Amino acid sequence: MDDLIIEGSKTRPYVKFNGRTAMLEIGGESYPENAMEFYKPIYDWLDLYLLKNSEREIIFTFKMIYFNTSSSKAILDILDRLESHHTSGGLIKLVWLFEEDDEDIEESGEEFIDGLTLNYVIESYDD
Amino acid sequence: MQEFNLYQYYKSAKKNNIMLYFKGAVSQEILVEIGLMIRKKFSVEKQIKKIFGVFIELAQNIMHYSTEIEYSKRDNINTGIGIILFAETEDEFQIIAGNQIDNSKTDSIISKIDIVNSMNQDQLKEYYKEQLRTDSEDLKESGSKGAGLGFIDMARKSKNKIEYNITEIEEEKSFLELTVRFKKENG
Repeated sequence: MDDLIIEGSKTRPYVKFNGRTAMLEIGGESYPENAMEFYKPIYDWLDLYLLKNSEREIIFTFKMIYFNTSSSKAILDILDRLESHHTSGGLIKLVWLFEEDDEDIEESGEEFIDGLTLNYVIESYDD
Repeated sequence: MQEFNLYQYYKSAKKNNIMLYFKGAVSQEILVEIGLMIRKKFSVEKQIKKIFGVFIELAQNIMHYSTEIEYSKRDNINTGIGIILFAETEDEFQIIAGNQIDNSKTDSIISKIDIVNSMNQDQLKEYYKEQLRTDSEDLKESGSKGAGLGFIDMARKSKNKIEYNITEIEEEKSFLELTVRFKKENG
């Protein structure tokens, strides 16, 4: 399957989905005018990828700097897909990164993950 | 323009410590530029990301929900018109946003804000998680952009109540004014 690469902008996160290595990453800023429109192709790619890769481990990384409330729904929709892949036997590792001392992003990671059963780590990084 | 007195306007803005304001169609471009300006200008402020976040929610509210609309031929989209102000006093930052709404929406806006204002930070956290799920499902059904989450987020980020004021303009329209205050940390 082809990679999904979207360059980030002031208001849109970057997307680096490497199909071959199964390393999928989204990061940066997310407050597009229409979040659902932006995230739609990401869901579509992910749905197909998860379907085709039920045997191997997939590492999904979020490295967000800021996201608005409509984007938080989009992030939840991604997590729901990962969780459902996990509960149906797929191998997922979720990595939620926050910049050191950014309590908002750290806490939002904890909130998103609360209630999920997939494997995850929440880690800080130095910029 | 006869009734508009620029000097009075300037004086009033100055007296109320208004650092910047914008009145017009709040397009994505405008919002990005003002947002980045705030982020740069107050980059040393500890709460800057929270202030920026509240600004974005308020500005996108105007963009999506104002009933006064400007049509952009170039982009073929409708953009909400409103006014947004940013003020700094000795002990706080204030973001004030105003736009027209339909009177039919008034009650639901008031009740959403009143619920948020009745909660403490722990309750808001739980309510956010709950609404994130609910709104997600609503979204698929009704295409609602879910302003409820925005209010919860603003109350959490500012650690303050959301102040509102609604002025009836005419039979079907009102002017909604929202104020969010941030207490400066360490005085």
